[in-house]
Amino acid sequence: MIEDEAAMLMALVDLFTHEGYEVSSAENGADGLKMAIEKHPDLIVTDIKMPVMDGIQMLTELRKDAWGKDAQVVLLSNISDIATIQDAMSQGSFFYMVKGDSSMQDIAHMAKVRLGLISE
Amino acid sequence: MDLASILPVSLDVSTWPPLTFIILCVLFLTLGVVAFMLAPLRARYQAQKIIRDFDQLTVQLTQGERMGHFGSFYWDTDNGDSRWSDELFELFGLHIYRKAPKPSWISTVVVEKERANFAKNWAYATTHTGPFDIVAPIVKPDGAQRHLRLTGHTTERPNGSFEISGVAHDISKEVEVDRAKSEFVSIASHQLKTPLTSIGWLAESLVNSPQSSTLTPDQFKYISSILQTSRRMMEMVNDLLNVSRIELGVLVVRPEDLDIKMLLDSVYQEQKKTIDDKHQEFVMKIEPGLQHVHVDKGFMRMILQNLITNAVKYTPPNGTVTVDIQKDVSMHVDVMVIKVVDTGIGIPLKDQENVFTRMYRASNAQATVADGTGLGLYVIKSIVEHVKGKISFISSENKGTTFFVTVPLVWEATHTPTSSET
Repeated sequence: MIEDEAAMLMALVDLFTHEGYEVSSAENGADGLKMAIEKHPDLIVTDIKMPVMDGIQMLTELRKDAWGKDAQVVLLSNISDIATIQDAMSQGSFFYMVKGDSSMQDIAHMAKVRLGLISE
Repeated sequence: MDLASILPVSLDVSTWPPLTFIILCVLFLTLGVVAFMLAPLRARYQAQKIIRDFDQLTVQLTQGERMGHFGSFYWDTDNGDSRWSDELFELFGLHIYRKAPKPSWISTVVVEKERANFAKNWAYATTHTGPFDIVAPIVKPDGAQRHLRLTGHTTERPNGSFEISGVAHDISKEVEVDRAKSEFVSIASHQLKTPLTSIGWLAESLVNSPQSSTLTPDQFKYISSILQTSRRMMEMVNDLLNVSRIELGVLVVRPEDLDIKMLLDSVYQEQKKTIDDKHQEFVMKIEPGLQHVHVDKGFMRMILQNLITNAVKYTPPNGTVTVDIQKDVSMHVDVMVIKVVDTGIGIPLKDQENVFTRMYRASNAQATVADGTGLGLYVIKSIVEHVKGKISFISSENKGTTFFVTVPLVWEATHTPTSSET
């Protein structure tokens, strides 16, 4: 879980912990990238706008890694970032959700779909 | 009295002394020669005046081009004639004494990222009869990046050659202003929506978590209220941000292939609980074969959401809301006609002319349902018109309202360049 907004990170960590996942978290893209490459999580959920390294840069660097090129990634965006997301499609497949339009239940459901635990 | 008595000489030439006759002939001959010699001088004077006037006009045009920062161009592909004004050379950062480049040269100085797209559009514009209006983001020899707007006309001759003429205008300042506006809305969007999303998510976590059973009824009620209020606040922020984008002229349309039935189903699901609680009938009709369209998903969702939410909100229990989407190929562009019909409170006649006005809510709407920004219809009308569609309605108080939205099946993309949307 990579998110610089403390309240959102707390809500996301609590959500996935209660859902039974083992959760690691980071507050910027650089720390998140390092953690992902070390721990090889089944799913990476990341914000886009973050200090130090943003979500798109993190994704670009991740895709250069032998494990990271196939990692499951979900980008959480605000609606104004849709242009950035569409331009970043060249960084391999990923899923995105618009934060303001998605409830916690939507995010939990999405995680299960991306992990193959349920069908879409 | 006759003429012969008035004149000092006789009219009978045969009576004139020979010398008088000779002098008169020489005089007339001299006058003729002088007139003959003066004619080209007069013509020369007139020609020189025309040239002076033309030179004066050229100077004025050149000064006009300099002051307005635009340059003119002319190309004739038949004889290879290529003419640029001095200002055009300066706009491209070239020496004014070099040979004027051919049309295709312009593509070579466009920024790399946009080059392929520009080259394709420019090649089309200069090989098809008609007006053109294209923006070329170029890099000058000194490395400076500018945006030049190329406006003109191409004419194809019967022999297949083309005559291309027009002007180039430096619009870099306008592009920068648009970019700044878009950046402002992007930052405002992020800064406003981030804390609101946090509030919503945390309240939702409390309401839906296993620990919620440990909350007192009042605590549960307050947290549920916080959740609902934060969602309403998010809708208002979205509306305000959309109004900002519309009024700043930075609305960006990004069409994609979309299944309209799936989108409509998704919007229905959001309203399903309210519809069920109010025991309303919700009818969906989509023309068979009209399923896939090429539109901006976000905006299409906004249009359907707004109209359906209003219809459900302002229709009393046991009423009916119908959404009917049909294709119309009778116009010069294939369109989708969306009808949202409700059996609700209707819009009073006195309020109807203001329905699409920003912040306006009909008198009976305010009395019936407390919340509402009055921005929704203003926003969707702006979006519909931006994509070259139309929106209208008919309504009768206490009988219901029908909204009609006509939009093309295929939307054109519009993009405001931004320095960064991250």
